[in-house]
Amino acid sequence: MSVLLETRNVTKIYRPGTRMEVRALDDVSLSVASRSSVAFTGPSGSGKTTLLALLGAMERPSHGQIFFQGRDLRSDSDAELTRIRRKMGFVFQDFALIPSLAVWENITYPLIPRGMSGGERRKLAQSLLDELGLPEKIDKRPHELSGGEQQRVSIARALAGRPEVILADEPTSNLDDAAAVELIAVLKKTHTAGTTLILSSHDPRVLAIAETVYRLKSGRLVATDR
Amino acid sequence: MLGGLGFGPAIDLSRCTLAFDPRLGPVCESQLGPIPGGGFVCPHHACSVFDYSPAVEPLLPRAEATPDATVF
Amino acid sequence: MRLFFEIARTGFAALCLHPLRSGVTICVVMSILVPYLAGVGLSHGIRDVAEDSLRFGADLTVTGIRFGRTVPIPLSAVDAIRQIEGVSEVVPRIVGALSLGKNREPAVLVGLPHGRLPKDVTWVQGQFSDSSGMHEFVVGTQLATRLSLKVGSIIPPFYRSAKGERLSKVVGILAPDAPLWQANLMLTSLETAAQVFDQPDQVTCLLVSCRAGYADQIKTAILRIASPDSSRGTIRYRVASRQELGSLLPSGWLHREGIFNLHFVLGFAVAILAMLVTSGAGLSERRREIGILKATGWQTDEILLRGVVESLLLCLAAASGSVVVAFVWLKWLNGLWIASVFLNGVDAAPSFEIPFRLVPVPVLLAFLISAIVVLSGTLYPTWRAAIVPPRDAMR
Ligand SMILES: Nc1ncnc2c1ncn2[C@@H]1O[C@H](COP(=O)(O)OP(=O)(O)O)[C@@H](O)[C@H]1O
Ligand SMILES: [Mg+2]
Repeated sequence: MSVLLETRNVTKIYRPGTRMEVRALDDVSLSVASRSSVAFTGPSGSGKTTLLALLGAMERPSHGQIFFQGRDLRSDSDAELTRIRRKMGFVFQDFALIPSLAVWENITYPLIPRGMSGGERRKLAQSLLDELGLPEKIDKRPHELSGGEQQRVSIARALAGRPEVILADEPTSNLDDAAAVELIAVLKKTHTAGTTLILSSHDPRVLAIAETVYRLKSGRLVATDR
Repeated sequence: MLGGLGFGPAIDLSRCTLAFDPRLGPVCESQLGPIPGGGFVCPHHACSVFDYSPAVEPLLPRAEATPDATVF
Repeated sequence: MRLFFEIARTGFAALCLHPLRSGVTICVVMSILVPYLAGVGLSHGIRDVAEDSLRFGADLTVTGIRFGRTVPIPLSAVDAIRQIEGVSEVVPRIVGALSLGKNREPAVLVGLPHGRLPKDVTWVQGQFSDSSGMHEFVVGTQLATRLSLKVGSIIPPFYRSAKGERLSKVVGILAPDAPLWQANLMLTSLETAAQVFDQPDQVTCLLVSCRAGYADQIKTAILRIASPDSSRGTIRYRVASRQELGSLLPSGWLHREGIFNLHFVLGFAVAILAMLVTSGAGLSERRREIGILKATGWQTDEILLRGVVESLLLCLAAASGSVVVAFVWLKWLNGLWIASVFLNGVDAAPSFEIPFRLVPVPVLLAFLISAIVVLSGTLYPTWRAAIVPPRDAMR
């Protein structure tokens, strides 16, 4: 099985050189195989979000290397990192929907620079929403939706670009039980369809769908389950 | 009509003759010192879009043309 | 190319998505552009009226000087100047300042020989009587409003001369569409004016008409005359020709320096600051939005293109809005309040028609200025948010 993402001795230090310096990640090395599913768990502040952001090419590590499909991201320009982000779908913990845009625009906004027309985008958004069980919410604004619905819209956006990998940061932390169960089903289905899953969570139900679970503590990888 | 009356942004003679009509008085009596940019402040007419430079040069007799009419 | 338009379209959409932000931006830009356009429009309007005043005025205007200052001319000079070859007519005129009423309203008293007073002109309601015209006045619209004068009103004695005081009668009111300088005018006969100011046999200026081609020659001749004024020494003359006055007419707003431009530059700077502050108000939301775009695969230049389109549309809206508002304000609101800012002595609600003309150059400049203000106010923060890693912008 080919390696999709790999970190080598990755360290992330926020506000380096100041008294407020934070070592959010410390010497993390791991690899994620294509079509696999992995999860990170650990107490709050242990560096899960930071690790996901680094894997998602949203940030650069302070030290160490990250490889995407064997390519070292260290030497890549910002524009190249952006191009790599187009192959990934990110589900943010706080959904990160644009409040002024309708649901279908939110879902397909990332596709505008990729040259998809308005009509095509709406059609795509409709099919994704049908799949995720929100067919009639297409013209709503994010604030008119419940947390679970917003989370599903956020997943629809991540899926819209047909990514190689979905990175979801604590996808169930803002959801009630029923919504969480539905969401896990969606993630599972996506994974079965061949998309790599990288998750972070405390939720045992989420961890249950991961083939590998990494345990983080104060930015260090302390254990690997399964 | 009245032989020509009126020219500038003032509509009476109470403050600045020049701003009413330079024919009646060729200099603004209220000009204060230069401001940055080279303009002069007349508190009465420079607040408008108009800034006539003093009409002294073209309106007063030129010395060589009228030797017996030089006043200065 | 299609991609370009798709992204540009999102810029337009972004404009409508944030009506408050767009509205505030447009208001800030308009608040500097409207006074600017109104001021320049008024100045061009006045310039047009001033050109008429020159064209229909005398060929030469003669005033007296002593010690380099303007003084009255003895009436006897009229005959001396009439002798000069090429002079077709010399009209003495008195123009003086006085104030009337308990609020001391400023008025411009103009006296012309009785035969020269307008008898039946469109911009006068009422007319002088055919007899001497003594103590009869035609008054300007603003003065009439301020003193509540009507045709037939009697003005109580407002002057005291050697001949005592007299009641004066208003025989006419100037029409509101007469040139603006008539607003505070009191038009009367030369004799009445001389009595009001108690300056017998003196006038403030002489209006000289010349036969074609004689103007320069006559000017020189007049300058050579030095009228002995009985025991009081000699009066010399200053002669203003039409061309000389014409050269005073500002040739463009850029030639006008002074406080207006200074104010405008200051207003401009304040507007840019205001833009930065107001865009700062929505800045965290905007930064986050840009961070989300970037995180989901928008390139920096695509985000900037979207921002540029948004800004350009904003500035287009602001500038054309300003042109419309300035026009409406000057035309249909007759320069309510704003005219009194730019014209000296005008009431907040002018009682006469405000002259104005909107010309292309300032309008184009308005577009340019609004582009600079908007681009510096909105595009700069956009750029700042677009060049940092998306996670930073989203925070
Ligand atoms: N942008 C940042 N600036 C400074 N410190 C940060 C930043 N992001 C995260 N941190 C710090 O890094 C540590 C790890 O944070 P995070 O990755 O969000 O942990 P988790 O997601 O596991 O709760 C925390 O101590 C957090 O305060
Ligand atoms: Mg987190």
